[in-house]
Order: sequence, then structure tokens, then C-alpha cells
Amino acid sequence: MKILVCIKQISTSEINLNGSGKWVTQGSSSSFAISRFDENALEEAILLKERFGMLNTSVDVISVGSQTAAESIKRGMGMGADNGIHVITEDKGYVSGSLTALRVATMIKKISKSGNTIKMEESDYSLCPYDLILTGIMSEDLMQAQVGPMVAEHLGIPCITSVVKINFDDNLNVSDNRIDKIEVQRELEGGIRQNIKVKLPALLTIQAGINQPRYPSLSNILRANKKEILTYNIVDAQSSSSFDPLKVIRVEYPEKKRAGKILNGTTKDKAMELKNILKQRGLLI
Amino acid sequence: MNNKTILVIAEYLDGKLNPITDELIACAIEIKKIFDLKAKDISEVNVLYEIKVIHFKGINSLESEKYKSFLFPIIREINPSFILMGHTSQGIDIASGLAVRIGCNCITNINKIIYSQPENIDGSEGSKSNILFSRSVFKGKFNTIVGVENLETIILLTIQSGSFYIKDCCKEYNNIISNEECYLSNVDDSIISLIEYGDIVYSCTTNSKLNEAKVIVACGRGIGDKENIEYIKKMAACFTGSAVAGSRPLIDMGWLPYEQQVGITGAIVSPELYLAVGISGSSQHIAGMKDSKFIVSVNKDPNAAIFNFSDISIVEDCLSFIEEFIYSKQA
Ligand SMILES: Cc1cc2nc3c(=O)[nH]c(=O)nc-3n(C[C@H](O)[C@H](O)[C@H](O)COP(=O)(O)OP(=O)(O)OC[C@H]3O[C@@H](n4cnc5c(N)ncnc54)[C@H](O)[C@@H]3O)c2cc1C
Ligand SMILES: Nc1ncnc2c1ncn2[C@@H]1O[C@H](COP(=O)(O)O)[C@@H](O)[C@H]1O
Repeated sequence: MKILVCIKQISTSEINLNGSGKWVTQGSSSSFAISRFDENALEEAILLKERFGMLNTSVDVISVGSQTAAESIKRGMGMGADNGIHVITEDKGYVSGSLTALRVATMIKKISKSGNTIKMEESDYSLCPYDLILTGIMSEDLMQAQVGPMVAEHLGIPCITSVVKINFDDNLNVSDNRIDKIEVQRELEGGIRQNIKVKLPALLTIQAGINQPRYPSLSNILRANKKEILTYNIVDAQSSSSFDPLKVIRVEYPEKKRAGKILNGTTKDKAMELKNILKQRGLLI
Repeated sequence: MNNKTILVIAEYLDGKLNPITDELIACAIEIKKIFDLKAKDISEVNVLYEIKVIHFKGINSLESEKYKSFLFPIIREINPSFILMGHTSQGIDIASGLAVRIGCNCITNINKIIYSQPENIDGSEGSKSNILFSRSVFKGKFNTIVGVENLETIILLTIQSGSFYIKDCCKEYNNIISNEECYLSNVDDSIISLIEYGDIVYSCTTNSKLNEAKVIVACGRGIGDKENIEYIKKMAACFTGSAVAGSRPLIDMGWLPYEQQVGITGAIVSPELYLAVGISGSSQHIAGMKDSKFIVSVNKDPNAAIFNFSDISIVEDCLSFIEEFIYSKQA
């Protein structure tokens, strides 16, 4: 079974409005992480690989982003992914879900797999080279919840969002050395879930809580460091701002819905003041 | 006269109309107002925007792939300027994929519609349209204001719940809102045969102690460690009739049981006092606690979104603050 996980690199340093108010600046000590839901997606893929090793299961990770994204791809391989794919872009600022999805889908169509190795073909493949594609339900920074469903549509495969459970064992139709169909549970609001069976290939967007992502292992990191990442430059050099149908005009702080009175002074002062406020309101005795 | 349509897709669950539908209508009215204003601006009133709410019958709205295939030809036929859906689990499952199929713009999780004078928009990079959309990014800390280049293409929006309200002034719009029922005809789409939609399971009840609590002390990832829940419990013990709650990541990590999750996929609460400790204030959390009578938040980031929803804001390291609070209470 061939699995692909879409991972996005996000900044974990402090984020502020930039001078022009058109976008944000990230703290001087730039530090990065894999977006939280994508770590869940990758963990789920690795669990599937461990469970279905006999089906020659492999897990690849793909990330679209600047040079630094390679670090997150390596981390993903450290967690247990076999191959890394990096679509290198020079974008700064906001990239809409539709543009990212187009780039991911275009790259997927260029990939051919044989066994555990991947190759990039000159001409686009018409078939989806993966049995299962996993993404996070949304990215932690842009929070669009778009890229997964859009990639699925570009590839013409079914998509199920907000998956909280993949059933490995029941009713699996293992034929011809591949899994034909899987059973998943997706989450709705207020504790409601929906059971769905879907034929592969399919795309699932993964909701947190499905698993606890592991830390990269030393042996995997060493292996990852020896392995080359498959890279593809967005050669047309279309910067997102000219190519993206979505235009960012500015960034602003949301309006205050309540007074948000700020307490001043030392920690002790603030604690005393809060105590008094709550006492006055009869919330504390 | 040239008519354009703002299409609202009414949302149903179990045959019941979801309240998000009212918000979608309120949002549609705001869009219409902007175009009415624009028409006035350029002193031509030759485009009339009408609001059409469609209610789909004979189809389970949770069968998303079917729903997409069903919607596709209808949208083609109506050719609306805007399509509005909720940014709900249903909307998320349907909207973005459908937008690719239609080949239209799609902007998700909108919390505000903004009218902008064209001259305020940077010509080279900016949008040429007068209508801009605000959406929440970076854990709710900022809103990005976005526009599209070309208003001739359909724009599909998903609306963040809790952002639009039907006000009294909307009544005057009643006559331009039409409701329409659509019945499922046979749609032929190969993707549909690949999915079998099963039962709905009411997995776990959100019927916890939280609903009865007068005071809720809720903690988020900012508390750092599972062990620090002890601090939160001690804080809660300062109040009578209190309960401990958490943001979703804490429940996902197994630090607290699901019954104690507050938010759109957990419990919706409105206690006398809600104390949010180390919680950023993402819309999904806010949806669960914004109606609390009094809200106090502790966060080390002075710009954390939670402060926009708080009566009292305390910028501090949460553990030091709790220690100090407990100490001051005993003193
Ligand atoms: C479909 C969907 C449904 C969801 N449903 C829910 C839901 O029901 N409920 C819910 O809560 N979430 C839900 N989420 C998740 C939500 O989007 C956020 O990811 C989550 O609420 C963030 O939790 P948090 O505030 O604890 O963590 P973070 O966003 O990581 O915030 C941590 C905060 O702690 C602060 N902090 C850090 N260190 C300290 C310190 N030492 N002292 C003080 N402050 C500190 C930081 O400044 C930050 O503001 C849902 C997401 C999706 C996609
Ligand atoms: N630049 C990217 N590279 C790879 N995957 C991405 C990228 N952006 C988004 N994704 C995937 O799409 C999911 C949803 O992102 P979004 O639509 O931005 O909320 C993420 O959780 C990732 O799995």
C-alpha cells in the first residue's frame, strides 16, 4: 500500500504584524515545526505501515514551501516516512488553499512509484500513484481546511474530512496485495460521528486526537540524512502574489468583543486585584 | 435589469434546520448591502442582487460526495455570484472540493464582510473589487483581509459560526429573500459508487458536570505539562460549585477526559465565571464559552485572541499567576 502525507511547515516563533500591516513578521529566532494535525496524519500513516508491513506499505511525505521546509520533511522521515518530496517555492506571505492544492496535485501527478522508490516523470501521470493520501484537517497558521479536499478533487478521488478513526481490521478486503476498501469514522459537532466505508485510492483529512504522534528516532534520522529528498522547483517562478486568485489586502487585530480590562503591576498585584474583582461580583468568598 | 444571485445553502442535520442557516442569510444581506451601496456610488442601479435560500430534500446532507454531485449542476444553472455555506463539519466536507469542480473562488471561515472604497485598494497587488472578506489566522490572533481579483467568477464562502446575526433591520429584506426546495434527482457520478455512508453514532455525551458548574477553570496548551493540571484543580478549589475544563488539545493528548472539553466539538457552556488559563482563543474554542457571564483570561501573549473575548485580561505566566492567586486567597 502506498501512502502519501501532506505536511506543512509552520513557524513556532512569535508572530507580529509587519510594518506595513500587510502581513506578519516572525520572531528573530526562526523556529519551525510540522503543523500539529499533519503530525497526526503522519503518525496514522506510520501506524498503517507497521500494521500492513506485509503489503509492502510505504509512506512518503510531501511539503510545498521555501528551503526551510526541507527540515520538516527530514523530521517526517525521522518519524518513519520512507521518502521526502519537496516542492520548492519562494512565496512570502499568504498562499491560498487553491494555489497550494494545485501545486500538491500537480506534483503528485508527476510521481511514479515502483516498490519503495519514487521517481519524477517528465509527463504527468493520469493515475493517482498512491492508495491513500492523508492531510491535516487544517493548517495551524492559515486554518483554511481546504488543501486536502481540493487535492482530492484535482485527482478525482473521494475525500473524507475530519477523520478520527481508521479501522484497520474489520471487513478489510485484502486482495491482490492491496487494500481495497477502508472503514473510517469522521467527526461532526457535539460528539457526533459518522461511519463511512471508502474504496481506495482516497484522501482523508485527519483530526487531532486520533493518535499521539511519536518523536523521530535516532536511527530514522540517520537514515533520513543519507537519503535524498526529491525536489521540484516551481520553475515558472510565479510568485504567489501574481499567481494567486486571492489577494491579501491587510492583516489586522480582531475587534474586541468585551472590555478586556488589563490588570497592571506585579504578579502579586494582579492576583490581589482579581481576587477583589471576583469578591465584588460575589464569585469568590 | 440585470439580476445576480447570492445563493445560501441551508444546512440540515437529521432533518432539522441548523441555526447556522440564519447566519448565512445575515451574511448574504451584508453582501447585498455592499453591492447596493456600490451601485449608489457609481449612480447606476442596473444590477439587482437577490438572495435565494435552497433547501435540499430527499438527500442526506451528510452524504457529501453525493451532495457535491447534486449541487454541481444546480449551481451551474443558477450561476450565482456568491454561494454561502457554513464553516461546519458539513461545509468543510463539501465546499472546497465543490469549488474546484465548479472552477470558482473559495474562501473559508469568513468572519466579516467589508466594504472598501476602490481607491483604498492597492492597484498593483490588491483586489479590484469593493468587497473584502475577513478570515481568522494564527490561532485567531489576526484577521487577514482578502479580496479576489475577478468578481465575475463565482465566490464560494464558508462562514464561521457566531459571526453574523439576523438583526431587526434585516426584516426589510424579507421580500428579496426567496426560499426554494430542491429534490434529488438521479445524479450519475462515478465517485459516489466508491463511498458507503454508514450510521451516525452519538459517541460520547457532552452532558458533563460542566453544565451545572457555576465557575469553570479551563486550561490549554499554555500550562505546558500534564502534571500542571494539579494547579488548575487547586485554582478551581478556590471557588464553590466549580469544575475543571480544557481546550481540545489537552483532551486529544489524554490529559483530561472528553466530557471536560469545551468548544464546538465539545461542551457549550455559559457559567457565571469562565477562567481561561493558557488558552489561545481559536474560534473553535470560543464557540463553546463566549456566552459565559464573566470571562477572565491568563495568557503570556498580550495579543492572544482570548483577550478579545475577556472581561479581565491578565498577561502573565499562568503557573506563577495561579500560585500567586491561591496564595493571596489564603492570605
Ligand atoms: C474541526 C475542529 C474542531 C475543533 N474543536 C475544538 C473544540 O471543541 N475545543 C477546542 O478547544 N479546540 C478545538 N479545536 C482546536 C482549535 O482549533 C485549537 O487548536 C485549540 O483550541 C487550541 O488549544 P489551546 O488554546 O490550548 O492551544 P494553543 O493554540 O497552542 O494556545 C496556547 C496558548 O497558551 C499561551 N501560553 C503558552 N505558554 C504560556 C504560559 N507559560 N503562560 C500563559 N500562557 C501561555 C500561548 O500564548 C497560547 O496563546 C478544533 C479544531 C478543528 C479543526
Ligand atoms: N504548503 C503545504 N505543503 C504540504 N501540505 C500542505 C501545505 N499547506 C497545507 N497542506 C496540507 O493541507 C492541510 C490543510 O491546510 P489548509 O487548507 O491550509 O488549512 C494541512 O494540514 C496539510 O496537510
